[in-house]
Amino acid sequence: MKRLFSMISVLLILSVTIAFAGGGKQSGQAASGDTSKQVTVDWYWVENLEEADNDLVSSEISKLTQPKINTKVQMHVFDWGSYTTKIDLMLASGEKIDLVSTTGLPFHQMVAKDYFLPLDELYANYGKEMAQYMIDYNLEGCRVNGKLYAIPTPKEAGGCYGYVIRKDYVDATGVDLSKVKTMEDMTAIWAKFKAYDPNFSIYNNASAYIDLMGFQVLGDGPGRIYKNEKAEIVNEYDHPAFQAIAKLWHEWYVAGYINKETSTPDFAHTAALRDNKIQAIGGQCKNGIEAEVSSGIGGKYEFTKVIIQPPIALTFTGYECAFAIPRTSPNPERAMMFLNLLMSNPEIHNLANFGIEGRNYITLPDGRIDFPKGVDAANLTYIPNAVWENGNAFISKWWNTYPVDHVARLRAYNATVQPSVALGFSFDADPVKAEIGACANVTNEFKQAILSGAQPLENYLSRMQQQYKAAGIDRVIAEKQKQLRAWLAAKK
Amino acid sequence: MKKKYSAALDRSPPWARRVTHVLFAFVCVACLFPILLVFAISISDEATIAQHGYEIIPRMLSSRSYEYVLSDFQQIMRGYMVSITITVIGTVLGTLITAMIAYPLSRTDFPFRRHFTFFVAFTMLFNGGLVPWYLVYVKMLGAKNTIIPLIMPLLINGFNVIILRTFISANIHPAIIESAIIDGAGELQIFFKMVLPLSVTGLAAVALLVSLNYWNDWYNALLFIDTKKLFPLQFLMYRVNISIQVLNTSSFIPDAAANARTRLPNETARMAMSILGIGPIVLAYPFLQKYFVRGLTLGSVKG
Repeated sequence: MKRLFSMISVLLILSVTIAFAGGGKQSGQAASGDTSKQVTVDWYWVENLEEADNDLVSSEISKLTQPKINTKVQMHVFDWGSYTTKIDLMLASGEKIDLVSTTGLPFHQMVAKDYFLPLDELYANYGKEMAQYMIDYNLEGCRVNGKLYAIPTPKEAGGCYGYVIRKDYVDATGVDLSKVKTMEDMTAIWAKFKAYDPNFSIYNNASAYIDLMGFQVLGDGPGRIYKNEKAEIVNEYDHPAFQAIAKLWHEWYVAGYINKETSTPDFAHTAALRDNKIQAIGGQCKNGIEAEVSSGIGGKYEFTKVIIQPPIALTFTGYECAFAIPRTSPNPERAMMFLNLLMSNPEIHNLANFGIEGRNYITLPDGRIDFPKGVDAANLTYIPNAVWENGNAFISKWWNTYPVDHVARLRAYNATVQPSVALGFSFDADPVKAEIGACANVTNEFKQAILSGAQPLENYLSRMQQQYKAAGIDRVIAEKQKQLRAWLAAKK
Repeated sequence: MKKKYSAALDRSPPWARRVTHVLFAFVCVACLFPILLVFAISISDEATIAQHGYEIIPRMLSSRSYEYVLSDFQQIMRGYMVSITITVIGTVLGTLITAMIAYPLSRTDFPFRRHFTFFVAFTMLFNGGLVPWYLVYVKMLGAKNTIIPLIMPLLINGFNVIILRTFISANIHPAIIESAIIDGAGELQIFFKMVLPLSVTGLAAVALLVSLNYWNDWYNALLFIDTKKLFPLQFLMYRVNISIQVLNTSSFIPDAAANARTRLPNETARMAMSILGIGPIVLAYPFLQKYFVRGLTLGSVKG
């Protein structure tokens, strides 16, 4: 038996050694800027389908980056389902990743695990060209304890919520959307639309209903800030605003403004919009959403929007679409140089985002782009449609579903964005993970009833609140409040 | 001589038999129902699903989901090829290696028998953890994006070894092996010419378990395979389902990405993929089933 144990322990020691040998490689951090040696930048990002032309586009990008920074580029694309698992495992085991999109990754956890390099110095040295497009709010969101751990992609600075509405309804009834300030103001507008077309109905997007009510997300789980006035966590399900709007939505439902079919889970709003079953959706209203919705249904109808919750820059807005350079990168300088090119050189940018001109897209006389002859979204060999993840919206080309002056509108939009009172704060959900999961189950049960307004609030309010209490909502909120207070105190 | 079972020998009262039959009929329906439901959904029209929910008898037939799934025919076929390849290679190799471990462990004259059995049993309780395991394949073997990590991790399962060991020691009397030694057979000869043919039932049972493991495996592909051409069928399916789930449930996915959902298959197409995924493995069942039952009930009947 003794021998057996010694054998086992030898095996254990061996495997531990291997693990360390694999993961322990430290990369040279001295910023030398020496480009005499050719290297390959392995660039990882997430998309739901792998494009057929990924390798071809990688080699085309390499042709451009080689003369500039003596670097080849290889893109690796994982799907949404495996991205987090794969990247986490690769970083834990010390595999080479030079550049990784933080979209969908547990960013703060990974920073805490020391997976990413602090980028302040690299960014200052090699990010000069892209720095002019950077949005300060988003950069702020990528900082952890004062250090920069990711470079956000330049785009809209924050999200806002409201309704995306069919343009023909607005034109035909002549309503003035600019006067809308609150959710209550919409009632009169829906009434006019209903009078114009008895079939008129809307849908409140399930993933955003709480934001639509005016509560801003603050990390995982319940506990939010209301209206961005003061950095105080409220229980959104106990808040008077929640109850008022839930009541209003039920009134809308009874009046037929909210589509009755939307109370079923998995309601496919894209198809419903296309088939003229609904004519407006409530949810995210960022710049260009009208074009995105329109192109999502094949350009069948035109849309306009009305913003009810004005845009706010959250911590999350910063790192949701950003790039980090992992510690496993042997050439962090080159990774930053390439990122700089990707975000500032239109040729490389458009190649990475839209593929090869003539093969994957054609440019129209007004500068926008369209599908090449004979192909569409279904059979194009390169259409990641991910400028938000990989691109710089200010130098990007845009599909012809976007307005010609899209970039100018984006700048105007960004000027209206306010920073969140908790910008820079990130919630560490680990201490209350179980409670957050339990609360999510309660939310799933009631979400549909609330956002579709199918039931009067009184029918389920007390039951819902009891279930949240049982799920531990108070502990989540107390923990969030504690962390936010500590963060505010440290900031002063 | 073993007596074959026949109804005439069954001395239980007729009502008891009827109750048993009814009970098993219920179990059968309960097993078949989910598959039939999935099939029904896969041939239903998407819009009626959205309206009325899942129904066992489709209100409106539609072949659109199969058209959609088969529109990526090449990928599906490649997935099939990969799945079939790893299942065939893995089952043959896995069963052989399992037998090669199980047989010595069944011999009472094998030195350190208990220690080796402990080693096998140990793996059933403990493993090295995800990261070291991953490192062995990626760093030590350099096997990422090859077929090796799709086959190797599933080759041996401690549980199968124990089953087979018990089977061999129950069915092959030491006297048989002794007689072979007296006749001048070497160990390899004994193993291949006596032990393997005599334990076909046990081997078939193990082979079925192993092949199912291979056919249903997606996890190894998730960890080790990045290139499309090595995706097994089950992983293709897993990928679509989990991506839809991530995009639908996470509040932390940019809205632009949520729009990408329009390019993912819908409910009925996912069901159509499941039906295609059941595929050939269903055909393997009837052939192996008789062995399966006998192999697993070993030891319960004294013969």
